[in-house]
Amino acid sequence: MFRTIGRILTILFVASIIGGAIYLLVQMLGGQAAATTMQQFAGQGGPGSQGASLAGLSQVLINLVEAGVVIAIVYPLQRRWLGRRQARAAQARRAVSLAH
Amino acid sequence: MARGGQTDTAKTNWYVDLVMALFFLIVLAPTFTGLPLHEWLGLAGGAIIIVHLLLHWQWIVTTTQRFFGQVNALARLNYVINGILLITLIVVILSGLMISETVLKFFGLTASGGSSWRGIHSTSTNIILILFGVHVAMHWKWVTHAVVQYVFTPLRRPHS
Repeated sequence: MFRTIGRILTILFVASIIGGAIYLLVQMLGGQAAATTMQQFAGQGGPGSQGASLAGLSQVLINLVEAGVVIAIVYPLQRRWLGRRQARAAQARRAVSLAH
Repeated sequence: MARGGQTDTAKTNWYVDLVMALFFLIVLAPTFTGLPLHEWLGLAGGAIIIVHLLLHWQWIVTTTQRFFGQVNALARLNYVINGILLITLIVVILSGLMISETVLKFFGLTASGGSSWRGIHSTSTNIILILFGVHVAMHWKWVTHAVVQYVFTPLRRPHS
């Protein structure tokens, strides 16, 4: 359990560092911060400029990291939930067979 | 024969899902595509969702019929998550059309626009990304299996 929590925290940490680095890079190059909001259309540089295309690419990467973080959190939880259900079912089967 | 058919279906599912995943990552980054392309791709996304639903139609019908009866908990959970995801996708597409600046104009229509629609579009888009992650996580075992089977195995196979 602690190992799973540790893994999730590590993934979150690495993901936030990558996200932060991309954000800083974009800011440094004059692009706009990547976030999934409509405000981004009023960005500096305008579409087609180097800053805008880099901001766009970083937004794709951030979307990927965000989805990856969700997968990294949900998948172990799902596995644990399934494992617990299977263990409970096996225990119930054993109890039934012992009763007979 | 049937096994070959199943493999073909799984392969089709894999390619459609891969295209859909890449598509979503790009559509959800409007600064990458620019607004007009974002709108057109968003509309095309609706078509890919329909294809995805049709490919899994049997599962949808079976789980709907058995939802309150004999169906395992994981399938039930999947069904609920997928239902919420579909509703959110519909909200994203509809709200996107309401604030559209290119697509509706192309068809000679005018959208009501408004900041509330923008708010709905932006919020539902953020929710979509999380739900997309949950949806993929629920099928992660299948995803990794498909990557090995359809990507790594053909690469490892020596050319004859």
